[in-house]
Amino acid sequence: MILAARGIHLAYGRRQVLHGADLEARSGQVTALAGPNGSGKSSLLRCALGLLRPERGRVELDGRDLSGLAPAERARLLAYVPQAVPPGFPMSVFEFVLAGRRPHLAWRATAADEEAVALALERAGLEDLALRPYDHLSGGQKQKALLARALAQSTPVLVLDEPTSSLDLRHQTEVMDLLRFLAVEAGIAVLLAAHDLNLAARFADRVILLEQGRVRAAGPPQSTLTPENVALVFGVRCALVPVEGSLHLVHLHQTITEVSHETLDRRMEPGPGPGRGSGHGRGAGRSHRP
Amino acid sequence: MDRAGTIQLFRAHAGRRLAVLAGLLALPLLAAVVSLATGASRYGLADFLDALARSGEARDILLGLRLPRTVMAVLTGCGLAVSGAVCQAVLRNPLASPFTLGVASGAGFGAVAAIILFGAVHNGPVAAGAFAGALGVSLLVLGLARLRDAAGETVILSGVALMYLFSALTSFLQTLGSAEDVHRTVFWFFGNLSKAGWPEAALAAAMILPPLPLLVLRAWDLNLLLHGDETAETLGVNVAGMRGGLVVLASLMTAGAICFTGVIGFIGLVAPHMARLLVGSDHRRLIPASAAVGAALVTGADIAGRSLLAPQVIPIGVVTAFLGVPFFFFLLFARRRRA
Repeated sequence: MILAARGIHLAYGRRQVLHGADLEARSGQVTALAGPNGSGKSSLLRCALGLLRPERGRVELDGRDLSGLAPAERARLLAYVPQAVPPGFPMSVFEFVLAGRRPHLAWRATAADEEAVALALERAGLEDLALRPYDHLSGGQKQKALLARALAQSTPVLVLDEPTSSLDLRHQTEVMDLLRFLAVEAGIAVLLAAHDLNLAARFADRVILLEQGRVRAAGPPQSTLTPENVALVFGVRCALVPVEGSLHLVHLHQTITEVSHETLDRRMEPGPGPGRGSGHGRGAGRSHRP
Repeated sequence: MDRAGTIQLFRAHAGRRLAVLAGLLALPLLAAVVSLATGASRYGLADFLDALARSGEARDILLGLRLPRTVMAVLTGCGLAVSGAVCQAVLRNPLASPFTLGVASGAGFGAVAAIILFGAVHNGPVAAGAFAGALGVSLLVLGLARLRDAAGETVILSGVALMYLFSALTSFLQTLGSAEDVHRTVFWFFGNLSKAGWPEAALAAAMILPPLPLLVLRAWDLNLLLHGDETAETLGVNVAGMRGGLVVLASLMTAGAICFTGVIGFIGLVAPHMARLLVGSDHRRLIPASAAVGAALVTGADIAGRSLLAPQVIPIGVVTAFLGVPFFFFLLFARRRRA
């Protein structure tokens, strides 16, 4: 299955955030959408999910226009793992994940639904927390519960918005290993917005590098996360080095000479800027690629 | 743990909650029986069972006064509680209820406006006015929630402001009305079950009962709203349409509960939380459980109001406020601590 967005233009009010961006995610592959804060990653994901309607451009699933699908049908094809974590109402982890079965069940949950939830919990490593109240979970466990809910949805396409942002190093690699497993073994098309370039380099088959609402490069990590591209888009120096068979992005000392003026300006902006992920290279040295 | 074990645990847990729900459903029945046996005249249950067969004073009091009052209490509690559960899911806000959002005051204003401005005499137009008022305020609150985070306190504060606005507007209308009209409307401020006879109870039932099965059938949509709009959307819910439909049903139930008894506060806030503690947040169980808890609470509050200072009757709105205000503070502070 191929989820493809073509020529997406999107504006929030008068602020144009996407200028004709393209995106493609295929079955059996992990596709990472990378780019600095505010480059339009989340907006492009939302367009691809049909949550936002672009001004121009099309989103297609195997050539069928996504906007032509009934909501329930779309929910059996596309699952979404958001960043934010609502509840605040008491529910067990099992009940939370059971919500992911909604597109498949009428009113009563069948044994097949319960089986799918149990499998999703197992894959996310939450099987021992099934009856724990969701609100009592740690930030990382909640993120895994969000993933489990989407897994229970049993869709051929899985879209994730920075699924590892509140996980520590070990859980990050666990989740990324799981996503690779789902792509390679279960043939799912995995599309994720990735803050962490190093994770994208190590685990993604394809990287789409987004810069200010436009695609700067798309393709395998070695041709997209080149030192030149990363310097231009993020304003940091780095090198892509193979370690134990997988690629790792390591940071180098900053010499600003080769950074363009445009990116320099952006680095002066307040708030968490492009230099935030200064620990990206830390994971180098171990390979978790199955 | 293996998958079968996980499923086993979940089923046992769900089974226990279903048993609790079954127990809860018996609660309003019990309260209703006690309510029938409570009142100024010294008739007990045994007299009634006896009186059902023959005509006479006992029969008149039972069938003409206590029974419609009890039916009204059960309906009102059910309507307010379920409408509160729906408000809480729609706004994803545990502090939401028809009372705290001003919807109940809007309904009261609508009913009074129907009487004083449009000279409504019959029950139908009064109920229609209450529904219009409730729906108007609900839509206003939904609009505010779109501007601001619905789950935050801002929406509740706006709701409380609306509640005062519509109480003030109701008072204002009463200064315009004739003495007779004012007499018909004054009880709205306290919440009072004594005005209800069979015709009122029948109309209230027609507004409160039909939405119940609809809500139980759409329980999954309510469940998904708790997960946030985007997630609900990606799970196949048309969020905007669903929210609109739910608000209409909640307004109808609030109006049905309010229009003949006045604004009874806090039941819509307290009952869903009690039900949630007992059966969890799954609306397939929560809707019937809220209905049962709400009905039992209002009936119980009415019994207390009639017997604590007998022969004086404490208005039911006063009793529910004593019950509800501490609970409201508890919710508010528990939330602050977590945030």
